[in-house]
Amino acid sequence: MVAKLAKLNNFADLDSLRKSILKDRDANATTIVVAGGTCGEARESNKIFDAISELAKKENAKLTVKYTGCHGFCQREPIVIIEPMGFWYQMVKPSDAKDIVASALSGKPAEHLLFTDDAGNKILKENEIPFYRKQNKLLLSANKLTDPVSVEDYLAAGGYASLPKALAMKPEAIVDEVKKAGLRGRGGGGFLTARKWETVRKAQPGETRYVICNADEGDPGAYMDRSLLEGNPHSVLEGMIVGAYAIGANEGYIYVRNEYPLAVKNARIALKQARELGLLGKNILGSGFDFDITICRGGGAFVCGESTALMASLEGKIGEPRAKYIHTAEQGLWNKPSCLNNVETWANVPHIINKGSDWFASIGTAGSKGTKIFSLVGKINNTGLVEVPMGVKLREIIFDIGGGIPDGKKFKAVQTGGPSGGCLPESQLDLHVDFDELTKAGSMMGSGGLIVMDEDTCMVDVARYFTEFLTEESCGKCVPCREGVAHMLWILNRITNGEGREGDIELLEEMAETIFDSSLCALGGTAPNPVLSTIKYFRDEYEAHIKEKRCPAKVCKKLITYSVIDKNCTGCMACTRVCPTEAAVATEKQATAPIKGKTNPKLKMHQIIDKKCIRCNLCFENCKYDAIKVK
Amino acid sequence: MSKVTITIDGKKVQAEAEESLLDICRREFIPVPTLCDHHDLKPYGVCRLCIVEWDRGDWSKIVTSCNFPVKDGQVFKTNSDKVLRQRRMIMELTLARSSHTPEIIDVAKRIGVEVDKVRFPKKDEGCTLCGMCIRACSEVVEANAISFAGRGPTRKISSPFFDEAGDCIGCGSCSYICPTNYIKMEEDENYRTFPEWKVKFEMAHCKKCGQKIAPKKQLEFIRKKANLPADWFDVCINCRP
Repeated sequence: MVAKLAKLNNFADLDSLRKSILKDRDANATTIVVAGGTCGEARESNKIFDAISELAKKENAKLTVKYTGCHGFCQREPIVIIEPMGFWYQMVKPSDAKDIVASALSGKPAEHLLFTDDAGNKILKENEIPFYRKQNKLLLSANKLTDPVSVEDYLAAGGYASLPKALAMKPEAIVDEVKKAGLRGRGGGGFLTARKWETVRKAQPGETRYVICNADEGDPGAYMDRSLLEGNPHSVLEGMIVGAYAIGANEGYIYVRNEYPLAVKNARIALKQARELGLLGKNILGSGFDFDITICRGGGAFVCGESTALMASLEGKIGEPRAKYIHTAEQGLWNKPSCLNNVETWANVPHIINKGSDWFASIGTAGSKGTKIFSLVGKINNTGLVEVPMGVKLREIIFDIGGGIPDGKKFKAVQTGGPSGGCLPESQLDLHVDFDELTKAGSMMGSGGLIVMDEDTCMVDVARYFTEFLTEESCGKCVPCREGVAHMLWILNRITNGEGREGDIELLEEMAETIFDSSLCALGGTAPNPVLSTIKYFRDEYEAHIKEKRCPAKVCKKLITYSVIDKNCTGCMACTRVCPTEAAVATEKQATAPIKGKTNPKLKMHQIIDKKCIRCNLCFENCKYDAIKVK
Repeated sequence: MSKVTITIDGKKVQAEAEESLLDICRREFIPVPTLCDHHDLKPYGVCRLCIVEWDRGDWSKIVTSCNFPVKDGQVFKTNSDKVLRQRRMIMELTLARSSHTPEIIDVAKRIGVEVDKVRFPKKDEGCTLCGMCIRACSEVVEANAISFAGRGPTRKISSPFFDEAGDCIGCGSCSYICPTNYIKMEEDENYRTFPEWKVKFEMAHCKKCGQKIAPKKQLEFIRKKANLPADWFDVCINCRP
């Protein structure tokens, strides 16, 4: 879009712009939608889009080709949809462009691109696919049909409709509405959004106040905020405008990590469009309310997702947290009242204003309302972003939507809430996922990462991995987090290296209590969670490591050995060929095929030399006769 | 400021609203150990030794007293089992870091840590990262010559890019305030050096008696800040008329 957008001066202007956009559009026109986003582009969705656009142009047909944000089903990216028929194509390659255009023109599905379910049936449409069937895409649905850089698309889909409504309301009434909706912060803490807004509203009368959008998503494996901000940036802006009006702020910030270049780019474009339309700036839609937003890019420190550290970083200082005995809602950015909410929280706001608090409160559980986006990753068949109503069972997310564990393996645990969340075992699978239930089970909602682990996962090693992440990401300001978490890692490293001692588990628990209670910020205060929750549910694994020097999942390299089961071995030499260190050798029968020209008569046939073995597991994976034993 | 009444260890205590709990404890002769607190600096809350238990009735919370602003009716315990246990753990961690520092060993002994039974690998870091040097440089001197660098276990006090601290005026506040005597200041008749900040300063001498005064850069810094005449520091305080 090159032409400058005309400024909207009042509510009626917005309405007539929306009407004129809709009038110019033919709802029944055939549209090919290519799902982009960072994940799609990693699998060449941009090339697919180019190829389809070129073909469509050549055909000179009445085809619209659209490039949208992420559709959530990462496992099947790149995804292409043909509307209005609703054909849903998966794992598309640029070379499929011809078939897709032909299918759009003929109205017949391209069979080879359709999704096939477990029973082998071809599935035509998105909502018939098991992955999507149980979802309630309140926030993510817009990603499906809206081009993130087209404000027209957003307006056509009903975007910014909450503004005329909200700006005509009293600010207190908006806070009340959000309170009645029961919206809780989606960034981790699950604090009641309206209570925060109310505090900011009442704090330091007459002073400047700020709204801030936290898009510093740093949990390994979590990317829901990225997909929202890059796929539908206007929805976040809309939420922020409503929030700013409700609390009386005239300035806002989006703190987004620089590792999300597409989110930064799309948010910038959205800001520019909103300013041109007069949806940001002075006297928004003639309401007399002024508000503008600045984007601030973060350097990627995990701790900067913590509110006080984020604000320190915004102020240009080192991104370190401070004590929160005085809340940021009262004294935040530059010591002014500041309302910090997560991307997903902000994106919920327009829906509450548009459809009312009763409607919103009807979704979810008693204590947690609305939907939650989870990024379902790890050992799971259907990796992707999943939006479900609060209260859904973990089992439904993992098995019905996620399609269970690949390769027929057994489920072992799911880590919820990012690195400082906890690991929940199979016995907790019937837990109804909401803020309170997860906390009760010793984990947390966090920002919504779900990492699924199968039977081949060592829980001590998992705790070690997350503790290592937290050690490196600790800002180092306070003693319990800097020294304590680092020493926890030292103990876990010892245990996984076979040097665990009696009393290590108790020492970890003792340290966890202090780190939990006396750390300065929530990063330290939740850092013991991976260790505590794995001890709680998988204590036997810790004991096997410490007492028997054995890793039950056969992961910890220092605790396992590889050997050949002679009676199973056929001498095929598959192991010898893949072994990167020549640890797997086959000698006697090998006279015809010596390894690198050398044979060693002292060695038995098919033997693994422990000294040379680096436990890469390649021999095990490549043996077709179950002749490799891991102990 | 309005007056409030709070309860510390069962005793009712009068205080100003929003006053720091640590200040109140000190006034009331209630012992609370600290390692990063200094009366001339803003509370920083990183050594975590000054933790106390804030009793909320049916639940309690561990808070640091140095930066905790009190409100009327609040109840605190400074010596509950939980507080003492956690203080010992924190001190054990600090001691593991600075296992050869006499000042740290001393505090550890006083709060009941078995100094020769530290359960963590011992290091010999003279710096406890209390940040007093940095805070004095920025809050009191306002030179902002030094800062922290690195993150987590690699955190260090540092001059910019571990190079010469260009904004250092050589006042020595960092060295005077350092609780573990880690920041060294070396001085002879003509020069003052700070090896940690890689800086060396020429000293000014009194034009009358020849007495050494202070680094020339420091005097110039003060003279400009206080808007003093150009020749103000030509003579020492004893020779000034």
